[in-house]
Amino acid sequence: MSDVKIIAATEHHLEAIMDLEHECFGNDAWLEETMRFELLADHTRYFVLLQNDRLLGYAGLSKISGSDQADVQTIAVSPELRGKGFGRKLMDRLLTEAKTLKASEIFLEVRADNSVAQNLYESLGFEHIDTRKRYYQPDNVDAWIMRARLSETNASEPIVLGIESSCDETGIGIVRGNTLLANVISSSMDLHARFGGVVPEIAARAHLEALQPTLTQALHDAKLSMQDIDAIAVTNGPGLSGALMVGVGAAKALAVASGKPIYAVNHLVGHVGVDVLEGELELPTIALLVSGGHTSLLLVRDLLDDVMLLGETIDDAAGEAFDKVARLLGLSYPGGPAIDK
Amino acid sequence: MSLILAIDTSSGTSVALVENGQLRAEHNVADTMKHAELIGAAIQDVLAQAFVHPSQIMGVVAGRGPAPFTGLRVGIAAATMFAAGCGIKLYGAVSLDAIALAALPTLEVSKNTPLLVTTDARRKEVYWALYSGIDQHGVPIRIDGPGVMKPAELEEYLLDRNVHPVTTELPVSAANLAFLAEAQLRSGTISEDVSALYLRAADAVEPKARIGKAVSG
Ligand SMILES: [Zn+2]
Repeated sequence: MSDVKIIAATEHHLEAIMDLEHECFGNDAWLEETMRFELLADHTRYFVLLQNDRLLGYAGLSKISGSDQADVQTIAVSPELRGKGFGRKLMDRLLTEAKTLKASEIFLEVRADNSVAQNLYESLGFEHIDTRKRYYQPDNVDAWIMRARLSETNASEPIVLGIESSCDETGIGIVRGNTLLANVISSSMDLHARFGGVVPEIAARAHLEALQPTLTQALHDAKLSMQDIDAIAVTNGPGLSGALMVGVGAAKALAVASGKPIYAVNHLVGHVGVDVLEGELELPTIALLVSGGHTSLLLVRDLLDDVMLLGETIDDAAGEAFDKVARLLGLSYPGGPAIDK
Repeated sequence: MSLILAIDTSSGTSVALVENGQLRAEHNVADTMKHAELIGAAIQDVLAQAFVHPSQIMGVVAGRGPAPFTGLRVGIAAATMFAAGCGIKLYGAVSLDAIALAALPTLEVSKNTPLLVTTDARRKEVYWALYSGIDQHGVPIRIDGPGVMKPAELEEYLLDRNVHPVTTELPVSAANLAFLAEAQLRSGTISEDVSALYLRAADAVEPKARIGKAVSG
């Protein structure tokens, strides 16, 4: 193993990479243009493994800035050199790079029938978290999604799953600390359109039907399973009571099933909480909420335990007023956008 | 077969855990207004009573009603999320069938003298269904319903068909819902449909008003 080195890939390596790509992946090989794009893109890092200047392997990862997740894009080692630890060397390099880029976890896909590669990844700290059915065609082979956690400090920030069902949208979000991992919203707005406003019973019915698919999608987007969730949060008001009950019942059962603590949240505070994800929130502050269901002024001294409702509109919220005017004028629902036109 | 968790909020809040025909634990609260407040503690209580960890449960069955709206959804939502949280099977069953399952063994019934199960649908109406007996797996044989009618309408409906049913006063319980699910698993008729049986459209009126009043015509 003399003179083996791993260095950052450049366009100069493209031709040798493509030769190995065809040798390793046959019909599934990427096009040269795809590979060139991958090598040169800002969000990717590619490395080549050279022995006496001969290219024996390469590997790449991608990490979008702002995200804390990295993905292994590809890895290849010359067939005659397999089982000699070159694959591990390349993977080690990718893991180091992912940590340098401040990723807290790294994902990869591997054929379900490739146990040699799976064993390597497991020995590097990856675990099998999900399966994509018949992902590899035409062979009809499943893909394993594997994940490794990279840094203890990031991983120790709590992962919270929130359920919101106070009005006509079923929302399930997942955050790690102040990082948004998933935000899936299923809206029943179209069902209310012909009535010119949110009909509580229709909203509540729609919540029940949306729950399970919304949860599945949120976990999928966050690349997490329920075991990864540290706590559950749920809107307990204000809102439509029938709609709230669906979310609260769902959240409680989810908490018991997964053995996680549950926290009730006043959703007005949730509105202010959005700013925490967007950037730093300077406290104390006064928040003006103008939404479909309420128009309120909040004095926020501490997001967790000191939020005061200074005042709100006596009868209708701004959104409801727009809807009512639109209804009188014979415009469509929701009223705000229709009146703007 | 093994542990089944049953949740029914078509009337009060009822949660039960059964295993191979044996009731392991149940939690029943008759209050018809507090489903969302009670459901979490009720599930926790049956697990604690039976010393069962959620991961030991094979499947969850939700009572689909029929029931008047609001409370019904809490149980179905809870069952759905419990199953999702544990990664286990989710089933749905008609709550009236669970009442029939409990009532039928002590009754003489036939096609013309079936069991009539009714529950309160509010607004001076009842939910109802008719059962002619129990099949060899223990599943009640529903021959009509579920439907919703005013009591007088239902009486007329049955008379028209020359049906003179026997009735029962038994309430729905999650324990019987779980036994029903076991019977349906044996007979292969278990359903994964957990949609709520409202049997009535949502209360909502489409606006007819346009601006201004008609002043002539
Ligand atoms: Zn709001």
